[in-house]
Amino acid sequence: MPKKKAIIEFCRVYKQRKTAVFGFVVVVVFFLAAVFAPFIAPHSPREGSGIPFDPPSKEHWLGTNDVGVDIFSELVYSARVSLTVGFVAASAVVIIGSLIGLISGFFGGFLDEFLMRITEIVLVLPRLPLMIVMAAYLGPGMWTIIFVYSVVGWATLARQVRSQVLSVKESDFVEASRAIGASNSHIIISHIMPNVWGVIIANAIMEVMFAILVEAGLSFLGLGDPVHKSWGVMLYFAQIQGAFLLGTWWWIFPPGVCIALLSSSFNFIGTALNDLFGLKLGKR
Amino acid sequence: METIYKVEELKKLFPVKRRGIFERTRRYIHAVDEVSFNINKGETFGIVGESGCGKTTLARMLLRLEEPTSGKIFFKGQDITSVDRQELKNLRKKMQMIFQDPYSSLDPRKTIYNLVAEPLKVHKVVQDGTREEKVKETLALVDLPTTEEFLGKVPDELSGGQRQRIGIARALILGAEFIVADEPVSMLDASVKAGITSLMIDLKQRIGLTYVFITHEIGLAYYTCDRIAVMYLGKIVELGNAEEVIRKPLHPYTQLLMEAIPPLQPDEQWGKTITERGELPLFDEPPKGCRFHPRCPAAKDPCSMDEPELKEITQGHHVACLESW
Amino acid sequence: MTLLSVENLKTYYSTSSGFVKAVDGVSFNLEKGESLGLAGESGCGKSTLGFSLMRLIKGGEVVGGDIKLNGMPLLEMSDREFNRIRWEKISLISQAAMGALNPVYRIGTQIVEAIKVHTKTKKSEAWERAEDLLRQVEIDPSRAFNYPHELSGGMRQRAMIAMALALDPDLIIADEPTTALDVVTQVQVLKLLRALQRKLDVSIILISHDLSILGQACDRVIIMYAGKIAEIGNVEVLFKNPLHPYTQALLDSFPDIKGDKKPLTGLPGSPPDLLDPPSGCRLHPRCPEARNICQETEPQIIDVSSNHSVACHMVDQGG
Repeated sequence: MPKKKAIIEFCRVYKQRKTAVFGFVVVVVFFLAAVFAPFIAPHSPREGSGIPFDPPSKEHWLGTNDVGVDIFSELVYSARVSLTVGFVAASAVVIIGSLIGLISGFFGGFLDEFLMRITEIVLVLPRLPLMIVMAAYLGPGMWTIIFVYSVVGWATLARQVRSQVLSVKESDFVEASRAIGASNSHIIISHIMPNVWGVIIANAIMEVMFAILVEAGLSFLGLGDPVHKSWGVMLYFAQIQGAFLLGTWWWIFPPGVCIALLSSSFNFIGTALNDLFGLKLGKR
Repeated sequence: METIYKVEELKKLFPVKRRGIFERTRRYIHAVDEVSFNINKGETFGIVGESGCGKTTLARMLLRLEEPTSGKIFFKGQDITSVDRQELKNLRKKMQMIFQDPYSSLDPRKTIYNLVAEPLKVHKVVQDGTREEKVKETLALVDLPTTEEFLGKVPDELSGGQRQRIGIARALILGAEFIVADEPVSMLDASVKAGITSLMIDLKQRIGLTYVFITHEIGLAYYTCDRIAVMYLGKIVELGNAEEVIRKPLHPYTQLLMEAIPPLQPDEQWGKTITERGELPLFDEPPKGCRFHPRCPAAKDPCSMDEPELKEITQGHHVACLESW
Repeated sequence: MTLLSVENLKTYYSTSSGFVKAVDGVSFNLEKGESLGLAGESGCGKSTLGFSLMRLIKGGEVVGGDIKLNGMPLLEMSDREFNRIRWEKISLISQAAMGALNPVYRIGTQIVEAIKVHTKTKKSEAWERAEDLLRQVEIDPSRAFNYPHELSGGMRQRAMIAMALALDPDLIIADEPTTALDVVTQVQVLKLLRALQRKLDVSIILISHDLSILGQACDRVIIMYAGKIAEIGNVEVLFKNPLHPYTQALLDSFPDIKGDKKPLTGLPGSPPDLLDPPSGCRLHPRCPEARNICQETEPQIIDVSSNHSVACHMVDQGG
């Protein structure tokens, strides 16, 4: 079966990229940590379990914060928030962006003009200030951040999907399918989508990375959920409680490193997928 | 002879958008300009011409893959230019196309089985149980293997000739009677071409097909077609039995095409008369009068004024040339 | 006088599944002022052979053999040395003139640039030369100020010929120079190329999939199949008396409108995969006359007459 062959071939090429494999391992580790947080975290992520500002020790691997909460435990639980925001926001962006790109590219005409004007408007809006204003207006929280990111994030993908759809739509094999008598829905499902998946998947991974970074950024500005802390929220508290002045590096570095590690891992995966799918598309 | 296809004053204009700052004029390319002809059941009707003569646009209109600007097309008495979507879908079972490029006209991600079975799925005509049987039967018809291994291959693993056979199988599996073949062998290697051509001729006799065979090679049209229509800049300039058109070409353009064919044996004299003449000028609009007159060695004054109509000179041999009448 | 001699040339492409032996042991000579045709189907190695002579093979490598131009070994030259030879001694006419001409420069400018890169010519002299070249290819010199897109396909191909002639090369390699053109324009460009080749006494290697065209424009033709030479001969003997079954099949697949209408025949199957070419004679799986020996041993090229050689066991054994 060619599907199986294609997957084996894909894995073979993917494995040749060290950074991509590294990214994949990191993402899996973080994912497992988030799922099994209660079993991994030695202490409560919310209540104090030691003296405040305690440096790393056997009891508290990464020390404690201003109210004596174990930082390692906090860190593990925070992975849940960061990953949730990343995946949910990226999914929303991918669904909205792909649908708009698909409809716009496939049906063309007035609908295309209309949707593309909206896309352009969203693209030229200054994203960060807009997101800050929107988040501030809606009140801090995880779902606010997901919503805000989804509203402004879909436009780039919509454009990419549209151009890919346009090139597939013009191809001879779609014309051949039409000559057979195939309907639009048949053409979309069996010819357009399989040839657009690559672009969507590669972009989806990149969107996860952007969503995690945006979440960290907005949370650091105090727009995150103070109860379900993310790494960004941890940094926010570290900053307002004077961790930077007190030199409690164990409070600042771990969330920062986690954000950098996770987002760059997604970036590695996304770049690799983009190249792999890009190669395939370029061959035609 | 039974007429299966009737084309009446078929016309296709493509708008050329020219947007200046102060002007917004609309001009049109006359891709096909009021063309009329009949196709008899069981014949191979050749359409010959250089690139840009409108032959591919005409072919696509015959199957309504392109909407005509005006004119009518009758398939077995039914006007296909005015049928609705459902009716058109039903008609497509009977009229199919073979494409020029066997590489790009097959979805690279589909297996051979899925490619050949696609028409059956689209029209939901054969139930799942017997579908594979039908696919194998059709593959055998075009002389392809029917093994499981072959059915699981993707187009990339096939040669150009095999791919074109897949294209033919897709056209035949629904039981088509009328097939438009748009340069079906022009992208194939010389030693493979003959195999595909003879398969097409063979199939025509075995299952009673009617072909429209589009090509830029007048020599190939002579070998494959019963009748030939020569097109120049959107118009049919000569139409007749293949034998007559090749042996006694009446239109100067047909004569020019004939001269351009390199003879099989080296011949220093070949092409001498052609070198003197200009090449196809780039037109936004076709020239006034006879469209061929700027290149025609026999052109006289009236040729630049009146556009000649297609006239029957001898039995079944039509030509549109003032000088030949 | 021999201008170019190619000895046992091998050009392979390296892929993840092994070597594609695109040109596998090809030898021939080219006389000065001769027009040599290279014929064969897609993937037979004819273009690779042409590009090997220009040292312009993308993704492949000359792995063995010897190429001598006027006695100079081309393969042993450094890239710098070869860059001087390219265009000055060997120039190229490619299939798609639109791709080979730079769309943002005028035709004249491009010819002048080609001249000035290689020689110390004054700009005014180079312009005169460019206009003279355009006249030779039957383009009005005023067209020198046109951009490529303002010319028709045939004129662009003529402009390419003018560029190829700009430095008075010894050898021109023309890769499918008329394939993208209309049938009528093709005749004109081909005739022009042949006339100029004779007038300037330059050697040409004309690569084409269309045997009938080579018959009209060449003195001698090489038929290639699957990376090897199947048959070489002067056009008069090769077309009248083809000896290799492959040459015969190519000629039989050609629709002849002058003679009787006999059915077109080709060969069964398709050209082989050069990753793993067939044993013995590479044509044997498709050859109507194949015998056991064809499967086992590779036929050597033998001279049938002074101007006709063929690699086929049937001929070898007098069959």
